[in-house]
Amino acid sequence: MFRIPYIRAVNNDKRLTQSQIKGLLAKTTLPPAAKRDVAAAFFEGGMLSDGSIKAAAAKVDSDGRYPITAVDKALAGCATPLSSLARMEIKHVLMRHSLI
Amino acid sequence: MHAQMHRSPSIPSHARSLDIPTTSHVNRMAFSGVLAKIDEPSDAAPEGSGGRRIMLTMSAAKHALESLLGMGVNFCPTGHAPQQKIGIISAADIIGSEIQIKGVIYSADFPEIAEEIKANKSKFGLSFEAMNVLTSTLNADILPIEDLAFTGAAILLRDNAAYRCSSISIARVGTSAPSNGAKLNSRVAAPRGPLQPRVDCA
Repeated sequence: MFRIPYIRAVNNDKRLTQSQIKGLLAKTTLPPAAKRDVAAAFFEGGMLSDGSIKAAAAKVDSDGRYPITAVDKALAGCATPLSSLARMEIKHVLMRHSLI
Repeated sequence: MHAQMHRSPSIPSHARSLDIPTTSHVNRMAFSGVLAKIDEPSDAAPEGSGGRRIMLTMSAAKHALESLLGMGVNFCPTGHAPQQKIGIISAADIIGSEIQIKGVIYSADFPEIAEEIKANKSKFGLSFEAMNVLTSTLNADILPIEDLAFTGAAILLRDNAAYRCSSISIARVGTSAPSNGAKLNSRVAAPRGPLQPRVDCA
């Protein structure tokens, strides 16, 4: 048996939906193709919720935020190569919205 | 309040209750509601589960039911505020696949909150708080909860609850929870029958 210190039955699924990630990326200076590819990379990494909160591999920590490693992995898998500046900008947006 | 527990000797039930007078009291607003579903996955991942949904097993629910008694109820539309108790849970039962509770809100101490809950009860639900939660796996998409100790409950907007089926209903002013043996659900808007000698569900 594994012990979980506490549970509060309040919805803590902070994973973004497709439209939410697109909305966040719209606030960046990335070119449109890169925005699409980043959203796709998040989707393929299992980091997005489809809104119906169906069972999916957990990609958030106990606080409901994305682990930085999961974000790095998703960005590394992006079809459009991202500069370090672009990665920082994306992470900054996620951070501003308390998602990492 | 007496800390004595009551069980009906005649009706097989999981019901547990505290002996709280149900006579009219200026500082008591009785409520009842659905706290969670048993053997069904939560609709959302709750706080503390590492982003995974959970499923309360029947054995865990039965074992932990008693721990609900005497625990506080807090009010926070967006989540939990366990240090801001506005009431107490006085009875708990398993009816079908639901954990249902009854209790009182200190309506004179928290008049604005009591009014808000009463006026918008269809929008509010319940959310449990638990500690010492045991699960057989941490890797499944849905964590089966094999044991837990309930430490309280929150009244919150139902959309924010991990169990969307949760609900709350309020008894008429000056009375206590719905009558003895009555099924507790969101459709019970007012107590049936005269005042009962004590809060008890069996």
